[in-house]
Amino acid sequence: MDFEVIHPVESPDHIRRYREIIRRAIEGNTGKGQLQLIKQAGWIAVPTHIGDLYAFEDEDRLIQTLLDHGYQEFIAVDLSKMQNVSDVLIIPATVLGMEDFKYNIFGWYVWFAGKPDWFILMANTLDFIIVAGQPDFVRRVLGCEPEQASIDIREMSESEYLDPVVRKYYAHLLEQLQITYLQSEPGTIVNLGLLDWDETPSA
Amino acid sequence: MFDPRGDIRSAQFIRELIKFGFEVAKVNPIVTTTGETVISEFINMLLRGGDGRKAQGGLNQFFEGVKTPGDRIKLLEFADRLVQAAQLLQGADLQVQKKDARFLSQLLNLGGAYAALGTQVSQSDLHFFLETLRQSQDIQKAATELKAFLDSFNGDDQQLLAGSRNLLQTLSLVPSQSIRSESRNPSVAKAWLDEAAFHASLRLSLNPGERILDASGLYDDIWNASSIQKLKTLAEALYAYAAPEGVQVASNGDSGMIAQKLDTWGNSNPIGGTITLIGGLIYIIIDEGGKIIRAVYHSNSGEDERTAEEKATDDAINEILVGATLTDRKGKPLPNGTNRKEGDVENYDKPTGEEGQAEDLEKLSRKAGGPIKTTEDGAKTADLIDGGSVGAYPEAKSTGGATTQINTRPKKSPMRRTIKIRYTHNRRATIVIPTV
Repeated sequence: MDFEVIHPVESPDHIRRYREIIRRAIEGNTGKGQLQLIKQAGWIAVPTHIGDLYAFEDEDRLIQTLLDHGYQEFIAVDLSKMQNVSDVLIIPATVLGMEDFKYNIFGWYVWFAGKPDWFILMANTLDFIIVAGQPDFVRRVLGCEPEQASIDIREMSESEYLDPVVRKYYAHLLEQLQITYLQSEPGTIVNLGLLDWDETPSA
Repeated sequence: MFDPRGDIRSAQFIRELIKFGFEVAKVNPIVTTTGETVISEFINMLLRGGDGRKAQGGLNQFFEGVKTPGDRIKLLEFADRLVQAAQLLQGADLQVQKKDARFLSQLLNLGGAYAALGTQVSQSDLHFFLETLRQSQDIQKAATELKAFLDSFNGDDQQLLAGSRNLLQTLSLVPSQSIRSESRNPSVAKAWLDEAAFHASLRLSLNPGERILDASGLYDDIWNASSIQKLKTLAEALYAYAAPEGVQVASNGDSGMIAQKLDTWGNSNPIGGTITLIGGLIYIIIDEGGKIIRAVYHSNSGEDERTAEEKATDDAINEILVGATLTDRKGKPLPNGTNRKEGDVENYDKPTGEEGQAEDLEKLSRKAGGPIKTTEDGAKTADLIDGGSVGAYPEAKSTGGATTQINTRPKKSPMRRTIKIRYTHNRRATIVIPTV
């Protein structure tokens, strides 16, 4: 894996520290089918299609939002082990940084900055992302109202072309984020589970 | 459009108009027209007399988009040379053609559309008949280039000329200052016309039931449009398709991205409905159900400009995409003309299940990649020789079924593709057919 501008973190101490920080807001291990959010005070968490972060104008908007909030770079932590890449990456808040990630990474990563001040979950193999943080920040990253950003996921939860198990997961995701997460007290754990292909799908 | 009062009072304009009429009369066309191409009405009047109002309508269309009296005089001079170049065409099939008033009308209309682009003078020799005629008196050279253009299409030359005229008019009607100014580079018009000839030939070569995948859904409409109003609407639709809001105003400064965007217009034709690569395009041929039958690479220069590694990677990818269907985000087959969001990944559905996925990965690795590695999470990955990579994920808790993602990365440019293939099970295969 040869990144152009992304800087993989090598120090085990630093890796551990970054993992501890992000664990305050989101924790997961896709191999074990685990994914849970820990509600932060005042935050909302909005699911949207991963393609909504891939268009040039969306990239531009995200970068501009990050720069306006004073972030020159951000952290990416691996939640899967789908590639033989460092667990923690430092990504410059530039188009090149985003491109470097997009074209080299397949797996599940969570992006964040600060304590964390916000996070973006990149659920690459399931085609969705979650943008979480203070409502103003989230709206700026999405470029629209949360309801509108989730339209594609809602349609996917009803698409006859997708596997019923996957459809059910999208419906679960919407419910957990738009109702449970929104209404929870800070510190509440919101379980997003993952798919279970061996048994009857559970909601 | 020309101004009957202003232009007709100009002695120079009259002189050029008469001279143009003289060039046409010299041809002594053996086939006259029935009014389907409007400039032909003017030619008819010059030759046979007739309806003056129709003739004026013909002139109006001819001068469409050419704004100043000076430019209109230049266009007439240019038209003289076009007619002369056509008369120098060699070739058995062209002897009748070049004396056909319909052919001449289509050629003149194409010339008018080119003039309306207001192209800048090219610094290098593009071997492009329209630019050669605009710049110089070398009629023989232009005739050779015109013949090469006509020869590049195996069908009806008049269709090629009419369709090409529509494409150039579309370019000049795109509602974007920056793209119109980009289009003033003569190589853009040349690239569009070369692509048009290839596209039209490819269409002729299709077997019954085959179609060229047209992501914008606008190509045929532009090719067949019969009025400037229609083309104006199509140019707006094309712009909305190829350059969505925000791209041109990306102010925080990545000029590389904007350049890449414009490159799509400059280097190739964004309405080929296919995949833009360095110096070339991949056309995808699909069946009536949208399933990919094959892919055809074409470059503007006629030479394959990809590196051996890029070509091998493209070929291997094209091979595994046979039998797949391009879908939208929701897995629904993408009909022609569905706007795929810019920057979105290419989503495909392939009904071969996990077995097919393993075969495809093996094929990619063998033909265009390194060894297959298995990761902790059970995914299989391989590097591709073009600098990209492929990851194949089994049906797992974190995947929406067996999925393969391919990231290509031609090193020469930012033109990269992200391809996602969902390997579904062909459920229809479970139906048991009773045997007798």
